[in-house]
Amino acid sequence: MERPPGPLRTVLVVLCIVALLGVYVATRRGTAATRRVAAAAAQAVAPAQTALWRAAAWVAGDVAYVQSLVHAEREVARLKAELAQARFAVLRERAAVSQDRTLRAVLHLRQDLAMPTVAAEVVGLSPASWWESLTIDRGGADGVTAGAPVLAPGGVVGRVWTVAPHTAAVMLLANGESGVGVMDARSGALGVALGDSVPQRLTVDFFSPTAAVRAGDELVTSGLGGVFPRGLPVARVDAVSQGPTGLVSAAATPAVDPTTVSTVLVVETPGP
Amino acid sequence: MRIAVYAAMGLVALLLQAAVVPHALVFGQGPALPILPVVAVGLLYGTSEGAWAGGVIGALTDLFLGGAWGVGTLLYMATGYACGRLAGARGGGRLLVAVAAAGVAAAVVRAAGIAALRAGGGHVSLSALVPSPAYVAYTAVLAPFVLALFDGRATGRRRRRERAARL
Repeated sequence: MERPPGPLRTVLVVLCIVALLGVYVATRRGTAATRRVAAAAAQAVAPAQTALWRAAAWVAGDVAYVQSLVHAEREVARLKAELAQARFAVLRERAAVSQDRTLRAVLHLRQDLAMPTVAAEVVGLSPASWWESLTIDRGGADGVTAGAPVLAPGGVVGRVWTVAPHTAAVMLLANGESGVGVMDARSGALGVALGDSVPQRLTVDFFSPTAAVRAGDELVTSGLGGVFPRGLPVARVDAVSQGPTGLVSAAATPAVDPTTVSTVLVVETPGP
Repeated sequence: MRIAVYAAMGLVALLLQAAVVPHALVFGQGPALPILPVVAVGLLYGTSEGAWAGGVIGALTDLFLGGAWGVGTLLYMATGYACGRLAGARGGGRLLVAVAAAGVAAAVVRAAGIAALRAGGGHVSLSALVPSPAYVAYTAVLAPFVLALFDGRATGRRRRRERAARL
C-alpha cells in the first residue's frame, strides 16, 4: 500500500485519534454492546485459555516440586531419593487435603447461603493492569447472569461483569468501577467499599461522620444494595481517616485474595 | 497481513497474561505482557509500525475487557509510536533502551488507563496511579527477551532475502 503524503497522513492520524476519543466517550462506562463483544471474544478463546491456565498451574506445581528437590539434594545428598519420595507423597497428600478443604469450605458456604449458586473454577485473571477482573469457566448456559454476586469461602470476590455461554468475567472488588454496600461488623457503621484499581486495596466511605470504625475491624456486606446477601466478609480495615467534609473513610484489604482462589460460587439471580 | 500478525501477537500476549502470568507472580505482581510486543516492534521497525502494532494490540485489549473502547487502542498506539522514536540504537544500548522503554510504558499505560477509568466516572484514588515497583521491574526485565525474539525473526528474514538475492 502506498503511503499517503505528509499533510494527508497528519490529517488521517488526527481523525483516527478523534474517532478513538469519540468511541471512548460513547462507551466510557461500558455498554451492552461492549460487554457482548467482550463475552463473545472470551468465549472464542475460552478453550485455549482454560488449557493454558491448567498447563501453567501444572508446570508451576512441578517447578515448586523440583525446587524443593534441589534444596533437599543440597542439604542431604545421601537421602535424596528417599526424601524425594517422601516429599512427593507429602506434597500429594497436602494437595489432596488442601483441595478437600477448599471443596468442603465451598460446600459449607453453599449450604450456609441457602440460595441457588453455581460453582465455578477460575481460569484466568485480567489481561490489563488497570482492570481488576478474573475469568470463570461457567457462563450463561450454566445459569450465570450479569451482575450476579461471586463468593469464595473467605468472603466476597466481586460480581459478574460479562457473560458468555460457557465463561464469564468477574469484576473484582478492587476494580475502579466496583462498589459494594458494607457494614462494620463491630460498630454497625454503614458505608460503601469502592475499588481503587490496585490489587487488594479498597477505599471505604462511611455514611455517618460519627462512624466509630477502627483499624482491624471486619467489614461485611450490608445487604442494602439488594445485590449481595447480608453478612458476608468483604474486607478488613487497615487505616481510618476523616475527610475535609467530616465523613469517615477507611483503607481496607479485601477478605479474599483473588490470586489464591481456585473455586468460586456464583449466586443465581434472575438477571438484569 | 501485518495487522493479522500483530493481532496474533496480541492474542498470544493477552492469553499468556490472563492464564499464565497469575501462576508466575513476583511479590504478588505480574508483568504487563501485551505492552512488550508493542515496545519491541516500535524499537525495531520505527514509529509507523510501532503505532500499528500498538493500535491492533490495544484494540484487542479494549475488546476483551468489555469496558470503555478506545483507551487501550490510543495508549498502546502512543506507546508504539514513542518507542519507534527511540529506534536506531544497536547492541547493548538497544537492550537498555528496551528495558527503560518497557518499564516507563508499563507505568504510563497503567496510570493513563486508570486516569481514563476515573474520568469515566470510576472512583479511583490518585495514589492508584503510582504502579508498584515489582510490576514495572518485572515488565522491564522481560523486554530484552521479547526484543531478542523479534530481532531474531527479523534477522532470519533478512538473511533469507539476501540468500535468495544471491542465488
